[in-house]
Amino acid sequence: MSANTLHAGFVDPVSASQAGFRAVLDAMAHPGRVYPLKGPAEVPSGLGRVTAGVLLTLADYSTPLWIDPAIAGQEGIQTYLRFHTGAPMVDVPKYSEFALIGKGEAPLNGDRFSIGTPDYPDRATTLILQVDGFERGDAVVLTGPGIETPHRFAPAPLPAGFWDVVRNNAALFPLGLDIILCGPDSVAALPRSTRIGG
Amino acid sequence: MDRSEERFVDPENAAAAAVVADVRQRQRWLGAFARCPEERLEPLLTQMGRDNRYTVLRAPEAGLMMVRARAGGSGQRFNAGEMTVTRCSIRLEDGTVGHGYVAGRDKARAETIARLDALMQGVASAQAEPIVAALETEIEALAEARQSKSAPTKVEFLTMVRGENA
Repeated sequence: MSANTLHAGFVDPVSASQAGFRAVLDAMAHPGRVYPLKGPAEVPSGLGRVTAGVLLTLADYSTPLWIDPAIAGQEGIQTYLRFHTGAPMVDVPKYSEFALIGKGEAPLNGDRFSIGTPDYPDRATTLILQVDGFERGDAVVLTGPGIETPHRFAPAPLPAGFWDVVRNNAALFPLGLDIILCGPDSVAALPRSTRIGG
Repeated sequence: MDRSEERFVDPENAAAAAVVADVRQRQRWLGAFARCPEERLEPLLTQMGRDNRYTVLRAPEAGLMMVRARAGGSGQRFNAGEMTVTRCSIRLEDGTVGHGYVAGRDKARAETIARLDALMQGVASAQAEPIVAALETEIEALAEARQSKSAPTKVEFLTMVRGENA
């Protein structure tokens, strides 16, 4: 199959996206806790299964999508997401509702994205990052709403500047960036209310 | 045919013209498959070299589509109403993608049309042409039969001229 072959979406879109939504909802409600999520069986190269599952669940025609040009297989991923979600692709990160961030060396610059407005804090970009796991990185201790006892969280690999973006959320609240981290078979989230350190 | 499309075609540009011709032909057969009698589709699938090793990209799903119209074909565009449409997309082993759209909620038919669409892309247009033309003739004949049945039941409402000027 060529690189531009279209890949199949969810076999059973209704129950698969309901399960995906539940996983993301639980992850957002319990920052730093890891929830299993099953993605579609086939995905274009460069896009993880869980990431594909999250985007097929959340993205639609009303959610502009920005894909980090650093992600390899950009074209295949765009074709795939455009076909299955109908989401418009944007070149300017500020205009995006969801931003898919690559694993590349480029540092993450939070200023590029929309943090919402005081009247509409929901108009912020949700960052979606692909990681290899939640255990092996440099551990941080998370506190905030949804976290009863502070616990360690160690996703890796993360782009440089990632934790600065999370720290900066404290200054921006109630505006800020929500973050979804997609592992090989599970998902975790850092909503803008989460703080680092006890 | 959408007339807005015609404006964008540069007659000098042969490559663009070829693409448009391809698109039009595909639109024609998709339209014919969607409107022809149900029982025509299965034999066509066999005739086109039925390929059962396909992957469903988008499982058949029913939804609503907004139908837009222009009064008299040239007036202001307006939303005429929504109709139920079922769609399906499949991929053959060689990567060819086929789409099927059909009015109503017939999921099996949408899938059959998607398979036919993929197979039709693999044949020369000279071979596809008679298949599509035969279906179109039949669809037209059916529409005409229906019209000639309903035409005699038409009621003419006359209004007598009234008023001072009569």
